[in-house]
Amino acid sequence: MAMSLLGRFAARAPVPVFPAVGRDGEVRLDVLSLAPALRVVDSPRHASILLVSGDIRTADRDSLARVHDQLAHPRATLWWGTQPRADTGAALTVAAAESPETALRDLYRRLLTGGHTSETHWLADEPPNPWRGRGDHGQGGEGMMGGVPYGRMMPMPPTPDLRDGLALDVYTAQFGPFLPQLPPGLVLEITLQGDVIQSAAVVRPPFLPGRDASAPFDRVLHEATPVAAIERARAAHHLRCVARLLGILQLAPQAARCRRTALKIERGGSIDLAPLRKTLRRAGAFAAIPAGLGPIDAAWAAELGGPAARAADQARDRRETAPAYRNLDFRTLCQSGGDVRARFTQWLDEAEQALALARAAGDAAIEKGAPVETPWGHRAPPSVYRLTDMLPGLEWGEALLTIASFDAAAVCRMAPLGIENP
Amino acid sequence: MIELLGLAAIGVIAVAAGLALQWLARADDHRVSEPQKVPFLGGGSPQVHAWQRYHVRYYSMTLLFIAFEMEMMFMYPWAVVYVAEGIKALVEMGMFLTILSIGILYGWREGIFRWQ
Repeated sequence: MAMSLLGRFAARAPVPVFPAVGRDGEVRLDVLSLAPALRVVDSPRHASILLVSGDIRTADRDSLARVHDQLAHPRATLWWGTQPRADTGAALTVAAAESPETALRDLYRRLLTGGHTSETHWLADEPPNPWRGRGDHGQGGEGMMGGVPYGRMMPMPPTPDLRDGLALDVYTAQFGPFLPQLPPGLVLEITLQGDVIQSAAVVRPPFLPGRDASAPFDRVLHEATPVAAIERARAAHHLRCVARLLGILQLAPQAARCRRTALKIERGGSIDLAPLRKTLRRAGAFAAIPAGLGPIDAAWAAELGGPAARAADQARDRRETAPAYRNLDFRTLCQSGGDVRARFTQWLDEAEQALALARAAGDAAIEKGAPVETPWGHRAPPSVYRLTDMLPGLEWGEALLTIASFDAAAVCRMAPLGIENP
Repeated sequence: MIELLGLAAIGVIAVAAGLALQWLARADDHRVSEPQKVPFLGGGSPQVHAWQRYHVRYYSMTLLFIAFEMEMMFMYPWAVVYVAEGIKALVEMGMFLTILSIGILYGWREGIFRWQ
């Protein structure tokens, strides 16, 4: 009786949800994360419900099962716009077009009051590397150093430390594809010494941003589209990129504000970004990004195009010559650094400019099929410039900031399947 | 005697409560499974155990802190007895500071006074 009363009280709290983001599941999750009834958490240990948003690749199924099994009991899974696993029995699903907020609320209440039984594990309940009974004394490995699997590989690691030459043990692990700080789908095999990255290789590439026929940048391929709609979509895209980077800086309230603003812009609200910018400056977002972090040179910038190139002082923008922008007094904005801080500033500058253009554009429209400056640069085959070349020598936090300072399309081009590190 | 009995009673109650909690946890069939013991890497898996030699990067600051803190710890009582003991106390403190200063010199050589 007392327990069910406590359970009912607990069920009124915001629902702790860990999102496993699959293909095309990110933007709708950004919108959902603004719901006050939910608390999107960064680790399955803090969550009661696993929300699978978007299609899961076959290669990611084991990873999803591992994340699921890391949720503490009582736990449940909700499949949002994706096919549930075949072996989960009566799985709870929500269509992609619907909001799962009510379903999550209801599921959480039933989970805590005993109406929904906690899910069992999907992976076999055995250690990833069996070790019991191995070795002369059952210590889990062989030889003086303990050996494989849980001992030390060799007395000294094969690589010297990149920071001060004091070589200690290396730690190699695969990170992703559901690590909230990395782009969805990206699996990196990273070797660390302490918190400094020694080497990185792509195991699975991130998801290429999907095409949505109703989104302005894809709509313009088929029909004339208002400049205002295009520019609003650009501002919203940039603000979501800014929000992702703020999340890594642990500025969650400011990130949520960016996402909320992006949503308002998409819904046609007229917003002045100056107060947001002021908030970010006061929160120390600009200062928290180390100066000169993650620089790209001119050739690299030219290859990527878009805001990343303009952040490296390359004044290339299709809007300069586009007829629809002729009367809008458009001028290309640039930064000089080409580093993470420059790309962050560039996103904010361009979002502000895009909103100003949207206000001034009136009913000007871009003709069907006309070339448009997209917010994400070139969509082209994999680049010769690799993300994994940028990471060695960086601390963990710096590496995450560097990755988050590129939009999803650029990361896709710079992180193709690992062929560069055999 | 009565105090000892009281203490024993408290001990018995504490042990019984501990065992009862353990028994309650056993009755719950949601014991921690093997995948839950693995660190969260976003679905990825580690190749080696995290139990390993790790670089304590603040070690130089720790060295410096201990060198100066130990110095002050002994200087306060030394200052009290110095007047009574005289030159003997001065020599002993000199020896102590010499030994400590070797640590500070070592730190200096390692570059802990360089502000980064």
